[in-house]
Amino acid sequence: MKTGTDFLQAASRNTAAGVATIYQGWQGGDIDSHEIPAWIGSAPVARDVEYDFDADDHLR
Amino acid sequence: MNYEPALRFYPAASRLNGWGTLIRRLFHDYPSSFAIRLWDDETIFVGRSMPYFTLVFHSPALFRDTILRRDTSKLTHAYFSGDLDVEGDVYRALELRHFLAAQPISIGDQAMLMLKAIMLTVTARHPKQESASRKPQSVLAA
Repeated sequence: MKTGTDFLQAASRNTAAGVATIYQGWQGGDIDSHEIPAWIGSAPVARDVEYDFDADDHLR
Repeated sequence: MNYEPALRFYPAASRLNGWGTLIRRLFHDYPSSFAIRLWDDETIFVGRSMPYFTLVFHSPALFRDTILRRDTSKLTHAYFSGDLDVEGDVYRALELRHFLAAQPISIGDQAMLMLKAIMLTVTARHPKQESASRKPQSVLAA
């Protein structure tokens, strides 16, 4: 059973996993470090995230 | 597991804005429950049980565009820019994409949405007039 903390982590704007969850969930499709739009990287809350991940590794 | 949202209900505000009825009609086939909390703390509940998640719109323009265009790419952008928050089960919130994409809207509701979007734009430009009549009348416990 997922807790509120789990949901907060899943939706985190400050981790690659959170970015992948939200992006894939609402945009659809797969993403990798080359496909993430510039506007995510420029967002104040996601500026420090390193996008060197395979999104599939971070989804439940 | 439903989470326990902050239940704040403003009857006067609901009548003033009137989004609740329209939103619930748009989502009447939605198989789960969720809530939408607007920038002025008005909360709209969809479904028959405790909401699994709450979409928190901090911007009238974002809410208007989301409802009119039903495009979750707007939500994605807004989420990362901080104009939108998700409280509760984020995975269920993400499933809205499939519902919004498949849900037809009647011509009458489209016209009503356009009208309300215009009114929203006007009231957003004159927030003082609206806030003067906005008084919380009751607080519902979970």
